[in-house]
Amino acid sequence: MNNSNSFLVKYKNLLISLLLLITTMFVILQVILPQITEVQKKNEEIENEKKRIETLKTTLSVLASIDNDELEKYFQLTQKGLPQVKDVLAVYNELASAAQKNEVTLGDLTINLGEIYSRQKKEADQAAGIYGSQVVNFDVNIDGDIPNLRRYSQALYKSSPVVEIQTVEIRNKKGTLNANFFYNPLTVATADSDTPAEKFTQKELDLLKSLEEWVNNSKIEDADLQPSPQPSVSPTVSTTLTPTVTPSVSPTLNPIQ
Amino acid sequence: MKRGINLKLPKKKASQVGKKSLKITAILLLVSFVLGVALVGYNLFLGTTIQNLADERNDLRNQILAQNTKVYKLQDTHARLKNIQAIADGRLKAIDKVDVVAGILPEEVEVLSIDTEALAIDYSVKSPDLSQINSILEERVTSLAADTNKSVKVVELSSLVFDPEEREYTLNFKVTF
Repeated sequence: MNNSNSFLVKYKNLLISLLLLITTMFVILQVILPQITEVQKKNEEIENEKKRIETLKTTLSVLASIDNDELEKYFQLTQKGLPQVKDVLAVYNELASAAQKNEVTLGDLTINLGEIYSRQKKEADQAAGIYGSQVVNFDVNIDGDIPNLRRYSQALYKSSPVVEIQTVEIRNKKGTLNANFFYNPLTVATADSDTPAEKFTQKELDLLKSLEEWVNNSKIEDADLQPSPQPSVSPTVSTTLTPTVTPSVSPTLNPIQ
Repeated sequence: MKRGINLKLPKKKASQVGKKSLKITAILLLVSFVLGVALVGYNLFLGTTIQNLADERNDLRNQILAQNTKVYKLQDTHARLKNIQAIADGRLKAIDKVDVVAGILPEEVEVLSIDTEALAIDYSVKSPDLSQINSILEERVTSLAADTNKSVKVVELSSLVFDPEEREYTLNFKVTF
């Protein structure tokens, strides 16, 4: 008993030091280290939050810098260039107005109800930067002089809605065009704090200018077409089913990526 | 006489070491305690900052949501423009090139047919004058192929046919861009 007491007395300071050291270790492990981790996490969170705020501020400043009327005009132009729905009448009007302008006679228009969905086509489109757009393929017969027929096919590239000509065959004052008409269903768009809204680039503004010209050309021609008592177009529109129908159908809404 | 190492510290020395270690550990504990308290305080400050930033973000988000139609129109316009540009870029280039080929043909030559597919154009032309056909073959096609701006890859002469009844020559050729 005396021995143990004398040991405690003798090593009292060292024992207290040991106890303090253990307490210090406990404070470091249980308080300091978790707090440091927490500080790092919170700093990261603050950085992310600041980035989100910056994105939203950019979006707000972009929105403020764009005139409502101007945006509405651009929106309408792109809706005409790439409609939301399969507007066969718009395509027919475009073909007819270009025909009248280039002095050719529009014959039969055949809409090929073939491929509704093709994964290969979708992948090829996405590789080319086309998202969610769908295609209506059609053949159109035209009559006229070769220079006019040539001009007609070129005029279609300067008209709206956007048309892609696959093949042109012109023979003995008769021509056949196989072309694709594109449309794009409603896109899903929401305010996103990760991607800021962007102003229109010069390239986009140039394209909008071209689109405006194309739409205006079509408008003038459409107006000319209305009062014409005998339009030089044949009203026959037929649809044919080609055998390459694929059973799967693409989703209605394709978010722009 | 016993020999060996004396492991026992002298009494005075042991108490000095004990005091010193007590001092050091007490300072360590105090420092770690102060550091811990400071970190807790800093964390609370960061938490408040995060909350303030979150409030600011929500406020900005609400301002944007109030203009949702404008956002939708802007994004839709961008997306459609991107698609239209991609479609326009991928369109049949041969259509634009039809005039390039037509430009080399003499006026007296009659174009019988034009077939375009991908980047190739098949032309069929007719003329009663062999020298006109010759000029296409020997000069015009060569100069077209030599013009690097027109990016002609191959000019293929498919056939030259003489119709004795009509006394006309028909030349078929294909230009690949």
